[in-house]
Amino acid sequence: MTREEAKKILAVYRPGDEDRLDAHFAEALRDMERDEELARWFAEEREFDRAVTDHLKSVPVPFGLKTRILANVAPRAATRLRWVPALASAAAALFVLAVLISVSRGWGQPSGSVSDYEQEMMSFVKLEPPLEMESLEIGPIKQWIAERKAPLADIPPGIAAVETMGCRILSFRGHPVTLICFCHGNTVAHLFMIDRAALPALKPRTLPVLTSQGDWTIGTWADQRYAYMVAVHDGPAAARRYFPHA
Amino acid sequence: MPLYRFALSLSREPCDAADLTQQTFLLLASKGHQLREQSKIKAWLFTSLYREFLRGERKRGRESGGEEELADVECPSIVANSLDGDAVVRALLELEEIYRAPLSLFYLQEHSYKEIAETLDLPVGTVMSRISRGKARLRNQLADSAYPRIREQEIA
Repeated sequence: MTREEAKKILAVYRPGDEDRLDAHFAEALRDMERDEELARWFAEEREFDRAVTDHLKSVPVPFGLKTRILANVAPRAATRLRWVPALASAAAALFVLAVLISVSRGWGQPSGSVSDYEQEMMSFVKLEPPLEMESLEIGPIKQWIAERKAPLADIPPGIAAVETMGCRILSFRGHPVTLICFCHGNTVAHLFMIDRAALPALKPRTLPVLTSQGDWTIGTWADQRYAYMVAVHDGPAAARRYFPHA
Repeated sequence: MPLYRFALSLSREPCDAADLTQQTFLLLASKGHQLREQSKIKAWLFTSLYREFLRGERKRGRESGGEEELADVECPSIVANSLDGDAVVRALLELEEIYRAPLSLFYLQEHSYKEIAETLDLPVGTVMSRISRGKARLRNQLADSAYPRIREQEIA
């Protein structure tokens, strides 16, 4: 085996018994022990690999991702008791165990798709997602959304008076969701529009139903075609100006 | 969460990676009961995430390109402890998908070569060759990105 051939093999070597005991690596490792230059190269390669691994493993996971996944997975998983034991043994144990804990808490609770939708959309905006399109004017935003055939209706009164930041297309149970972000002073507000067929439990009504999630106020309502949700990062009193008829 | 980091290496966008990770867990919730071997859940998650990614890419008309020969490219020497974390991740994300996917799984150190091959639906030999070439490309990108900084330091 030439030095270059050995390098090619050792370039993909990983510490641990599995590679060390593999015949494919064994010969190259033996060569390395007899070749000082190859040994130096290999030591440098290992250092490089270790550095890349450390950097890749330190990439932060978006804040709220686990919450968002749990909010979506738990209601479905609650009906599937058969594979709960299987989940418990997943190698990504901490994460999956967190799912299980949530599942066990969710047993017996009725699933509310509107509440699922609100939770999922909220956990998403709490990630502070990058916008796919940014504009301070609603015209170009509407045009961008229309081109993508995503849900688009007249901007509801209240929030329509606020300056836009941009938009993004999301998804809920396979249905596209239009997210338009607004900003007034230091207050951020998000408008979500989805085909009402995605939320069959939500009957058409003009008055939004207001709820709170932490320091966010959420209003949800629907017309015949679309379901609307406005989330305002403020208390209920201050948030009312962003909702229609509120 | 290694699954999210693998998703990020594929999609290159934190939000898309979060969507992909979530979608994979939704799949586990709906199909996980079909898994017969409990020990295979981790491999199942990574394989499903990769397939979801490929499905999305096909929908968007973005297929991965062919493999170019890189055997003759010389790998520059890089001092590992001088590597900047952001630059490393950026360089990794800039690689072509055919190198990015196996290389990420290699560096995440969660899988054997056999598992990487199964996840990516490739022969083990191809996985190894892509990792080797991917590493060469990664080193070249890191050297390229470091060069202007070194020049600036020299001028200063």
